[in-house]
Amino acid sequence: MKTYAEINNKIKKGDAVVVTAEEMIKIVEDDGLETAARDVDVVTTGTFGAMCSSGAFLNFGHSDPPIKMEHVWLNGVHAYHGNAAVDCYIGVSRMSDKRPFKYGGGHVIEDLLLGKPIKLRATSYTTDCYPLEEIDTVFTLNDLNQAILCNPRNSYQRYVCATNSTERTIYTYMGKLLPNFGNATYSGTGELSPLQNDPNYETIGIGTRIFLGGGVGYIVGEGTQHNPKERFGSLFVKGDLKQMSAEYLKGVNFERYGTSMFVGLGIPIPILNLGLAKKCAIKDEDIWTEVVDYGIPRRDKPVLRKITYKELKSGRIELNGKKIKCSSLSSLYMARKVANELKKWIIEGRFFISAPVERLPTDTKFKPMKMTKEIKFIRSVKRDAFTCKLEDGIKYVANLIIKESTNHVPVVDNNNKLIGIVTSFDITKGLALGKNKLDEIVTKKVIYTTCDEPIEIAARKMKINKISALPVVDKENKVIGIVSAEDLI
Amino acid sequence: MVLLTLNISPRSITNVSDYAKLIRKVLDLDISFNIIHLSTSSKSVSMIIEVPKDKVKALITTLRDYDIIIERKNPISIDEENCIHCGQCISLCSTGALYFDKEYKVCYDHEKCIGCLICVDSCPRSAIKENI
Repeated sequence: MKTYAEINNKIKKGDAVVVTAEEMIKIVEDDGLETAARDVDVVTTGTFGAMCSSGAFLNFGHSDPPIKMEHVWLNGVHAYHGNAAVDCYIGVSRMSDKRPFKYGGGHVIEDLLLGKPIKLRATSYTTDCYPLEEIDTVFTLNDLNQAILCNPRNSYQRYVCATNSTERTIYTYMGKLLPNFGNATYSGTGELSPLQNDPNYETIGIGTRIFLGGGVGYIVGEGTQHNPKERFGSLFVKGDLKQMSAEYLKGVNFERYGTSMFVGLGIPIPILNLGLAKKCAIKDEDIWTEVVDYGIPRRDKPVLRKITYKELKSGRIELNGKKIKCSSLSSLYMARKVANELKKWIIEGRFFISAPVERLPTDTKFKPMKMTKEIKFIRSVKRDAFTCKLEDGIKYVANLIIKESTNHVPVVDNNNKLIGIVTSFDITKGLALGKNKLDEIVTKKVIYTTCDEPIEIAARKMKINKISALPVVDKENKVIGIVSAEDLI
Repeated sequence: MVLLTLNISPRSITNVSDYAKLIRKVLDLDISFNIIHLSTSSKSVSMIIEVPKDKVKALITTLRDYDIIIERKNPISIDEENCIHCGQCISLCSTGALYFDKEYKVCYDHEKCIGCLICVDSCPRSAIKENI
C-alpha cells in the first residue's frame, strides 16, 4: 500500500502523519482499520526500563609513552579490556569495586552524558611497543575518540510479572518482593512496547534506525536470548553515545542485586499495509505474560497464572483469590516521552525511517546452558533426622544429641510436621539460664529445605541465615531428614 | 525525643521466642526508650514509644528486619530530580501514599505515609530519602 520511499518523502515535505502506538488504538477504533492504514504513515513506540545487557565501547586515544591497558577502571568500575590497547567496554551491570551495589557502569555512562569528569585508571604488563605500566587520568565524553553505546540485549517484547511465595523479603532484578505474595512487579510497556507492535518483525531488522538513549541508534540484529516463538524477542542495538542524553540513559542500583541502566528506546513502525495498521493497534488486554514465583531461585520458576498487561497496569492483580499490589519497574511515563519525542523528530523532518537490510529471525530458540556436571539435590545428601516433641524435656533432647551425636534436633507435632528446631547451643544456653521446658528455647521460625532443592541453594540459605543445618520436609511439611553444612561440602 | 508508633503484625512474629529474639536485638542497641502506650489484639500489637533522636535510625533499621511497621510523621522525601517514575516503590506502599497520577508519574502523599520505610531501599535511583 505504501513504500518506505513514499513515507520518507512525506516526512521530508512535512506531510507525514505520525502517531504513537497508544494514539493508534483510538484512531483504529474511531475511524476504522482501512482509514487508519491509509492515513497514518508512522506509529512510534517506546520503552524505558532496566536493560542489564547494555554498555559502551570507548576509545581513549594513546598516551605518551603508550600503554596497552590490561586492567581498566572508570570511576572505580572495572571495564572489559580484551580489545586493542586503548579500547574498552564499560558494562552497566559491573559494580564499582569500592561502592558496590551503589555505583556501576550505568552510572559511569550517565555521568559521561552529564559532562562530568571520569577518573580513568589502567595498568599494564608492558611490552616493547607499549612501555607504560600504569596511568591515572581524568577525561570527559568530549575527550574520547569514539563512545558507542552497544547493547547486546534490549527492548524485550514482554517480560514476566514477579512475585514471591517465600517467608522472607527477596531482592531481585525485578526489585524488592515482599514475603507471602506481598506485592508483584512487572516490566515492559505493553501496547506501547516496540516489538509488540510489529511482532513478526516485518519492518524491524538489521539496520533499522531507532530512537536510542535520546539520540539516533540502529538495530544491529537479534538480541541475545532472542526468543520470538515465546513472544520474548529482543534487540541488539548500537548508537553514538555522544549524541545521546542523560535523560534517557539512567544508571540504577537495585538493592542487594546490583547495578544496571534504564534505557529509553523507541522504534518507528511504518504503516506499509493494512496488516501493520492492525498490529499497531494492539491493546494491553491482548498482550499476555505470566506471573512467576521468584521465591524459587531456579531456571524454570513456577508459573502461577497468565495475565494481561491491562491487569498489570491496573495496579492490582489477582492471585490465589486475593488482590495484591502490582507496579512496574519500567517507566510508562518515560516510555511515552520516548514515543512522543520520536514522533516529534519525524514530524519535524529530522528522522527518517529505514527498511531493514535483513529481518530479525522468527524461529530461533533460547536454549538453557549446557552443564557437564549433574546438579546434586538434597535428596542425595540428606540424613535421617532425630526429632523430638515440644513436650519432651530439655534433658531428653540433650541425651538425644549425645546418643546420636547430632547438633540439630527438629521439633515435630504428633503428625511429624515441622514446628521448630533445637540446637545443642540452645540446650546449653537453656541449661545455663535454668530453663526446663523445650518451649522456652525452641526456634519456631525454621528455615528448611526439600528433597528437590539443589544443594547450592540450600547452602546459600544456611550462609545468609548464619545457620549450619536445615530440616528436610515433604510437601505436607513432614520432617523426612536433615542436612548440615558438612553434608553439602 | 521522637515518638514512634510500631505495629507488629503476626506475619513477622509468630511466637514468644520471636519476641524474645527481637527484644534481645533491641537491647543490643543499648537504647533506652519509654513505652507510652501498648495495646494488643488478635490482629497486631501496637506500641507508641519515645526514642532519643540519635537512636531512631538504628532502631528503625533493626525493626525493619522484622517487617514491623513504624509510623512517623513526614518520614520520607522524594528527590524529584532523580526519580524516573518507574513505580517500583508503589507496589510496596501499603497505604497508597506512593501512587501514579494520570500521566503515570510517581507521586507522594505525605498525609497517607505511615513511615514504614519499606520503599526506601527499593528505589533504583536512591531517590527516596529518609528524613532524619
